[in-house]
Amino acid sequence: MRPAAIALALLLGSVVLHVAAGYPTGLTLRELIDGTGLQSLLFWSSELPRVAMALLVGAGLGLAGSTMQEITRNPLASPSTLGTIVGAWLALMVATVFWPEFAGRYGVWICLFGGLSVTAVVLTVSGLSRMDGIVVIVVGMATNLFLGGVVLVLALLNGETVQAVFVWVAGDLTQTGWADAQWLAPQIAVGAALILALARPLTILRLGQDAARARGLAVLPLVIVLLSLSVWLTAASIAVVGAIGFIGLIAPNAVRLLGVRSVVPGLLLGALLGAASLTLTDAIPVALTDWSRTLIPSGSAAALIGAPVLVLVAMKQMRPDASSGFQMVWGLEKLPPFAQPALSIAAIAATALAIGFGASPDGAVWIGDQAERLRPMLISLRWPSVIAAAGAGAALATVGVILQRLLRNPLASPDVLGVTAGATFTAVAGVVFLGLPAAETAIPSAAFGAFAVLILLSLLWRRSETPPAMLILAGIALAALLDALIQFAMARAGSEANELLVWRTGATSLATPTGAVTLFVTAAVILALALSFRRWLTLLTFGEGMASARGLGVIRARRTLLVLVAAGAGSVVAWVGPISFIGLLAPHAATMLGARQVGQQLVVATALGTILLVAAEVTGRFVAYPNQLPTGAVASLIGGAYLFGLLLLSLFRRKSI
Amino acid sequence: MRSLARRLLCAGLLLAASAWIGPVPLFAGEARSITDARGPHSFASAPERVISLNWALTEQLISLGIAPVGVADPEGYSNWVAVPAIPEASVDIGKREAPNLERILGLQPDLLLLGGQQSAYVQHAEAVAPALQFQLYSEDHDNAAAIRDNFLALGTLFDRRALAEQKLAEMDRNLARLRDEIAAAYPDGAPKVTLVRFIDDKRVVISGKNGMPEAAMNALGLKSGYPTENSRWGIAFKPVTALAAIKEGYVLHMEPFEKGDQLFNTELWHEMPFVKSDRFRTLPTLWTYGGALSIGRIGEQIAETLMADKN
Repeated sequence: MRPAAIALALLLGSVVLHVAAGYPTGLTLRELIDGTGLQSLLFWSSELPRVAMALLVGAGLGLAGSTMQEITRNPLASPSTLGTIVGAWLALMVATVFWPEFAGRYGVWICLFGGLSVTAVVLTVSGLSRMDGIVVIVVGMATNLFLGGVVLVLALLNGETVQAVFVWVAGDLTQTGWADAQWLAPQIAVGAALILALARPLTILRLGQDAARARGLAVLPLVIVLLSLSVWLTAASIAVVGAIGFIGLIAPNAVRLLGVRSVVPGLLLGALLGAASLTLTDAIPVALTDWSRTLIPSGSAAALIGAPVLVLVAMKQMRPDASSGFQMVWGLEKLPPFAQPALSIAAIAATALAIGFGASPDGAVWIGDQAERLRPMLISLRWPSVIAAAGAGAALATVGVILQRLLRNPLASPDVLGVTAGATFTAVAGVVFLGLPAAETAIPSAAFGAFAVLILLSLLWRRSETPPAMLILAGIALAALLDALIQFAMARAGSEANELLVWRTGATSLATPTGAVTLFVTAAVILALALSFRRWLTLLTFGEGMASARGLGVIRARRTLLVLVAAGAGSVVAWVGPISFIGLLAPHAATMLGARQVGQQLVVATALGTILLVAAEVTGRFVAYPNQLPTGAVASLIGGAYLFGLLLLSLFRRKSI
Repeated sequence: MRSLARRLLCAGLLLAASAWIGPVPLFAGEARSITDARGPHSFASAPERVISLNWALTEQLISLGIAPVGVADPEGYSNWVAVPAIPEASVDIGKREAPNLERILGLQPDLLLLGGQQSAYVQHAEAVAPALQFQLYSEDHDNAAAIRDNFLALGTLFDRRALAEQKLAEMDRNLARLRDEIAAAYPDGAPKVTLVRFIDDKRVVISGKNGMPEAAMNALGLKSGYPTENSRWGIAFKPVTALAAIKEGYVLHMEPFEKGDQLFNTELWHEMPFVKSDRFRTLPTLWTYGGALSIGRIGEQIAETLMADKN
């Protein structure tokens, strides 16, 4: 029982640390025992309930994550990767905006409802029979990006109302009494008891679903019940303390690290380790409360510790072939001959139309119908935004193709790998923590962040046996860490965050003429270079062995291509802000159209990326007039809808994606 | 540069003229100068069609009796700033974070006013109309002084300098009167006061150094009960347990706060010194990141609370 001893020791140690950090200054032992006076109350009804909450929430999330991983046989499954958390977040946000009184009173139930329904959608869309693969994670991440876009639009249109929600998103364990713990304890206890009671048959499930069925196990009902219980644990936890994302992913991986293999002890340990890790990380903000000018949310601290741990654990866990051979492709076998010129013309036409049409109080107005003296002014206001959108779409599509070929993984894209998040974080941190002026410093700091993340990823890569899936995992962990830090920065009260809100959602309206032209030219140069490296990309798609055998210097090729990626992704973030989905979606759609060769895929994807982002820019101008929605937010809505449609199609066609 | 040269030339001509014909009265068309975050600008006449992209500047304009042609996020302004109300005729030109430049262009403004957080749009705004950007709130200066200066500067720009001075003087007189009343009511020294805004039932924003409430309290001769560091917005963002550090005096919280039941019924809350001594009060909606006259409004609310307890 050594693992259990380790877990208990960790648990005790973390509680001691937390209490030491949160012990009120100047509280004598006598006062403490008497339990009277403010200092003593600060201990008994703020610090102790906080420890209790950290233990409860940690245990709940740890158990939920362990159960999800046990059922799905998927080392990446967790409340945050299956959309549970973002569902709760969105439901609360919508309620706060439209029915503030109702949200104030029933926040807990709103979160439960949102978390349950979104998780149900994610699992249904990806298909309960295919949870062991990466499909579920793709859908979950797509959901995160998609709903994250919705949330940001809501936040932007209701600036001051949602500050509380931003605090909640970062996850904070501050307590003022035992009410929350008393509410949560029975939820966790009942949920955990039910899960542990039902978990035994999962041993049979490990043989695979068909084998389990052959032994008379009702697989589907069992899976549905257990998953619902896990979501319930998660939603109940985050409803009271906010979105704390990492614990559910760390705990089960840590259990495997300890070498525990049997089901029920594994789940129990998952709960223990979850409780220990959240208590441990929450000691940091508690210790810093008096020192820091602003509140440090517990969720940020958890991510700060959790992300590196996750990467380390994953490096030990991942099998080299975890995701190679995973293909998300069906559709046309061959690109129709007219497709390349047609799409290129369509991209140019879309750009021209976007500059020609504008929104007005009376709806869409063609530039020719405007007063003559206004025309040049309107054009000069419009073109930087449209050209920036076109450049960003093109650059992201090119970068996406390169990354997907390089990592042989259809999930690889700058947003998934954390490159976008890195760029965003350095820019946000520069403004919020160092007080740098946003306009002047965003560009260098964003570029710096993108390069830093890619350098980090290529360092991981230096061991040539690092599998592409491992990199994706590292990227996801990194992106989540940086997102938590960004949320932390945004949660700072005051309006620095508002200043960045627009840029964070990918606002092409911020583009200056210089910026737009620079970005557009950068995109063109990157596309040209990528086309000239066609042979490299083709060889790398077949794997390293094949590429080396054909005389390719794999390391050098990779480095060169990564510099291209950093330049592309960094410029986009710097000039117009972080934009999700396009880098994932455009290359994929190109393949579906039959563009299987590298050259074809690059051209078609670039055209599609341009059309998509220009369309998003125009939509953002018209939908909420006179308010303008950020292009990036609209793009993630379009992208999310596309991905969902695709997954639903594949579900009905019963093809593997 | 050209404008500077023009101004020097004008000044030179004026000097020359005055040397000939004695002192000149100021006449309309006189170049007026105003300095924004980027340097001095001169205007040949008072701008007539103004669009404000920032709430504090919107407040300053309306306080000077100027109806802006367009304002950013009037709905949010009504919810949070409320006073003075935006005139019916002012057009919504989108959010402060993403002002709709085409809408602005259609309104044919002759001046755009931008706040410190809109640096990203200065270049865009300049392409549409002359633009001024004011860094009203900053960690590096005295916010209240900067905002009063801005009020006077806008007064000069719009030929309403006298009105601006009169309004500030009125406010100061009013605050001085309230200070005397408070001093008379509390001969042994007035209690300390801390203004807070609850984000939710567990997190709070405490007003402190360099905030508008501090400026109001200085004018009223009051001290803060919570020491904070200097900051851009004059606030500290803390867990509510941090309020335990307020050992004496009043704590006033500003509406709206929906989760009151969940906080005010806890044992910990009842043990807070200001709750035990029954010195916790509610203020109506007040915007603490606003214009010059908001200092007076905040001061009136604080004074009213302190005096109500004496009567």
